[in-house]
Amino acid sequence: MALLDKDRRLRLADGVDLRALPLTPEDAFVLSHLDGTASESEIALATGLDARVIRRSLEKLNGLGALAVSSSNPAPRSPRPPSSNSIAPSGTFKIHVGAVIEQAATPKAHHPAAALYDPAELDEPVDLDKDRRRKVLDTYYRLSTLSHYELLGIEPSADKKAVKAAYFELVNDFHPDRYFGKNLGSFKPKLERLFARVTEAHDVLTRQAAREEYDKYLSSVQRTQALDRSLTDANIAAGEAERLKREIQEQVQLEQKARHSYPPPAHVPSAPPFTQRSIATPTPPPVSANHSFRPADVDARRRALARKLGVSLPPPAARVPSSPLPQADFSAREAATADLKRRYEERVVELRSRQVQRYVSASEEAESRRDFVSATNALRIATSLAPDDAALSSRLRDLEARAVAGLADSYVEQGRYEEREGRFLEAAVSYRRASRGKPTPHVLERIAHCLYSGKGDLREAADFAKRARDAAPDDVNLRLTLGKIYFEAGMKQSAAAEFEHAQQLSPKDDTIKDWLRRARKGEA
Amino acid sequence: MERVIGIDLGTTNSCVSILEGDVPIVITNRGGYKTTPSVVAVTEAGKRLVGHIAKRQAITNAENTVYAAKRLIGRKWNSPQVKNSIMTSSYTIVEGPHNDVRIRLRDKTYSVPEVSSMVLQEMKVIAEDYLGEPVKKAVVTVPAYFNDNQRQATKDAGAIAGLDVIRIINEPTAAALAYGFGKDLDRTVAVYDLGGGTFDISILEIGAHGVFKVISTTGDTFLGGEDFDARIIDWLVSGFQQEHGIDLRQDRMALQRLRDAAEKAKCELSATRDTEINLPFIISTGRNEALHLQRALDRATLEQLTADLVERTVEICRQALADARLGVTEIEDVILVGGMTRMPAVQHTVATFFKREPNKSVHPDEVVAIGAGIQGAALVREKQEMILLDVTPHALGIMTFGSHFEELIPQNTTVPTARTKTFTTSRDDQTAVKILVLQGESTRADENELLGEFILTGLRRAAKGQVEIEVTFEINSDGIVSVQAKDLETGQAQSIQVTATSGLTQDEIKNMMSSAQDYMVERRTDERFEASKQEAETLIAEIERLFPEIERAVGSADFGRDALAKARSAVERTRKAIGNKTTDEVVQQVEQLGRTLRMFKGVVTRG
Repeated sequence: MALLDKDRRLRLADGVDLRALPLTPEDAFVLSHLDGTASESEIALATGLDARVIRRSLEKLNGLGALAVSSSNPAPRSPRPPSSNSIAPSGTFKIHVGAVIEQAATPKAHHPAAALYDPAELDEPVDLDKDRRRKVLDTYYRLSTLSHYELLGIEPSADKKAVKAAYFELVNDFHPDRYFGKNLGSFKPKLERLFARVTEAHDVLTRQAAREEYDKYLSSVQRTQALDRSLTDANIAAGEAERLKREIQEQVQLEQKARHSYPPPAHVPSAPPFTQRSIATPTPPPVSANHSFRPADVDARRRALARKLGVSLPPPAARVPSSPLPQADFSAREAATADLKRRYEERVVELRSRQVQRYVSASEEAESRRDFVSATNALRIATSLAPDDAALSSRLRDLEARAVAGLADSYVEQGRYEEREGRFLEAAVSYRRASRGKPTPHVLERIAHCLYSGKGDLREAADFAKRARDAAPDDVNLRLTLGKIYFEAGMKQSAAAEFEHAQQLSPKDDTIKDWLRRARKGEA
Repeated sequence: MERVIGIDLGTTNSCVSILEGDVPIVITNRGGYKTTPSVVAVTEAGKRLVGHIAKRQAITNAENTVYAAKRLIGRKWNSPQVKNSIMTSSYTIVEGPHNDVRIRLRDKTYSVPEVSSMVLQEMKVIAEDYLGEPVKKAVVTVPAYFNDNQRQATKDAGAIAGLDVIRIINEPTAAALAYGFGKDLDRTVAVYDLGGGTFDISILEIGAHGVFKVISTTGDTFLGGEDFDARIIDWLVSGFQQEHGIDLRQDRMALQRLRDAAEKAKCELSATRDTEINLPFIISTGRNEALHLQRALDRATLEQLTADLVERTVEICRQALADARLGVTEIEDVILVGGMTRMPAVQHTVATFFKREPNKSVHPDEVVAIGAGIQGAALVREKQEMILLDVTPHALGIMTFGSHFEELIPQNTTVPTARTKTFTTSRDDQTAVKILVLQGESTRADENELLGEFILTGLRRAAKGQVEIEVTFEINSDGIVSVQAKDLETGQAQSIQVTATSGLTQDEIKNMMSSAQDYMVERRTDERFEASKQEAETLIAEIERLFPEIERAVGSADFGRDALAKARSAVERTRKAIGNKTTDEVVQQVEQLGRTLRMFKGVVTRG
């Protein structure tokens, strides 16, 4: 796959109708970060997704023909004329698409959603043309993973009018009346299901209160998933740090080489930040591409990316100060070598600390926006670059702890929403995630309660309820929940004991009395 | 391509239409009228009469002339609506073998769908005369608030008449189709449909691609022009009783004459301010002399007699808006449907409520049939120009333990739809579970309409609550309800397609459908009173228990005596409110008593 070769900056191909593609939310997330200049690791940093996930998405997108190569591809790295700012420690990253490519399997260029269903389903003899059948099946088998927005093919910012327009459009595809009297076979119930789901999406998104709730839920899910991943998978940051280290070394080597083989440039053309790549490519952009990048273009894209990255990186430090270069002195070879080595190391340290500084301030900046994913990631990279900095490490631990706590709050919110929707078992999962960062009696009780209400594992429910009770033995509700779970599990005596205790705590509560009566009756 | 006709099977009049190209045509009957009275009669010679001719002979053959059969269709014999019809009908209504309703005409009894099929057949013939070819398919309209049994009975009537009813659609929805067809509109409209027997209000959104989406629909299946006529009849009868001491209701022929005269007077008063009702020789005194009825009626009197009926429609409109979550200002047009909307008082009331002049571009008697014809064509034509998204007018669910109604598909859900809920067994070692499929708004199962039932057997033996049964309700695009129950452990499953109204009569739960919501309001009020009463009584007991102690504590201090007096009078007021059953007052007093009690307790603990 030539497209996915090393050092290619990818962008969305022209004329691709994204809505027609069978994308997962992750694919779409990755896609939204492809601006023709971002590298895989940048995307990883910005999205908080695992590099493998990104790789997989890129391959899938490529297989779908959704990708095109950005025309400002950097020329092969060497040889090239030296330029003091060719690899300046600026905000840009080298693209290293190849980093994970080698191990990637050959992308299969078959139908995207094919894995989701048996292609034989497409061949059912019904009065629907093939395209429509495909659309129905592709959507039908992805229903559970699509958000309301993705299903309707609209932006999360779409107004009521746009929601309705998209809905009415889809109604024309999916309402079974469209095909009244035709032989629809197994497609009929699928169409009905699709229609019902599209209608649900419309109903939620057009009712302000319902939509606000849904949005909150959705963004919370996305945020927490990204954060969860970044907290549990530190490889992204470590990989990024390794790469930066390597790059710094390469750069310094290049610099030194340059100083030896060429006279210093009389004047370094001043370039706007973020445009190194286009400058480093003196050859005119290929004619074939109708997207030839002018520097301004690239600049705009870089800025857009920087915004999207979340970690809005500070502008690069002033270009490498062009320290007066020593004239070559062949008689003092030894001294020169020592000098070279010293310079080399100094330069490495200098560049490295500059990068550390950049990531630290990026982390602070992200933290001030309460964007813990980016803040943690950035600080992690900084810490990997300066592993001996104790202050940094302790700050990272502190940040991670706060991120986990913040994550817990989000999970509690999600749990509440799911509980309200009657999705108790899903709520139990959310509360359980919350309990990792916030094992309060209340959260534990919610896990137990949701397992109980959702007819989940009662033993597990009892365990959580017990933990909750032990943490707050005087809370009536916790005892009541535990008692109910015992009762449900047929442990009438334990249930009665809990209800009795609850009654002592709250003697007038009729509900408790009622439960106690039932539990005692069970005993007899 | 097969032609599909659209039939508006009305309570008093019916109408048939077809789409010719893009032009909706209302087909005239042999007499040159665009509407045909929904009246069926059997003559002395045993001949069946339908339409104008049946209506014309009604006075001389009142006992064998059926009008307003629609009010009985799909209803159970013991429903209050049928009881009411028995009292006011000039024809004889008898009980059928399945708790259904039969009508006796001469020496034969007919089921209600049979009688309706006679009207449908007449409409079919009118269309065939016009088209010059046989017609086999039809879209028939029903009031939006009809339940599934009534819809099925209407479908059955079509089948008896030899028509394949490819779709039943709601009357207000049909009206909206006719209003918006081919106009490329984008707006939210209300359809106010006050017909001969029923009142419906629907809120719809008409959008791009010819999509008509119903947002909410509600109504009253026993509120229509006939009720307005009845008010005039009551007025005439009671006036005659006062004057002559004779009850005209006892005479079926007199009653039929009164009915015709009342309807005529009502219609006239939509155009003029005064009219005279003149019925000579209305009844014989038995002393070989006849009495005459002659009374003047003016518009103001009619409006006064029927003001509460009009007001009821406003209440229902308010409900429809609330169900749609829309404010009155968000309605961009109001369409009037049904002959009763010609009444100036109705138009005025609608204009006041919706804060805009209602749209008068559609013909109130023909618009529903036109919409049915449009929908019929849209379904069978290759190129579809419109799509109708309708809602289920009633909630669907099952009966759970304690005769409780558990809702699965809420009211105003866009169909097709499907919902699933998991239930558990209610007894230990329960091996079978009976699923009762119900429709309605009451939380009590027996107050809702029973649509069908089946038994899921072979459950594993376990303690109650241990066996999980997953129940799935589905309404497909043809409006057919199917229900599946599945034992999650064993995968054992049973399902039914809920269809015909007959055959589902075993262990019948009584039908009180259309008034279920009234009952609900009543019961809710009762419940609220009971709750506040209990709370008030508890508080009073507590307060009175503390009186002696408080008296001691305050001694002779003025402010204390004041407080005591206040408390005593609050207790007194509460007792009175409880006695008068004034819920709001009791609720208020509860707060006051609560404050008093808190104060008393404060005094006691301090003292």
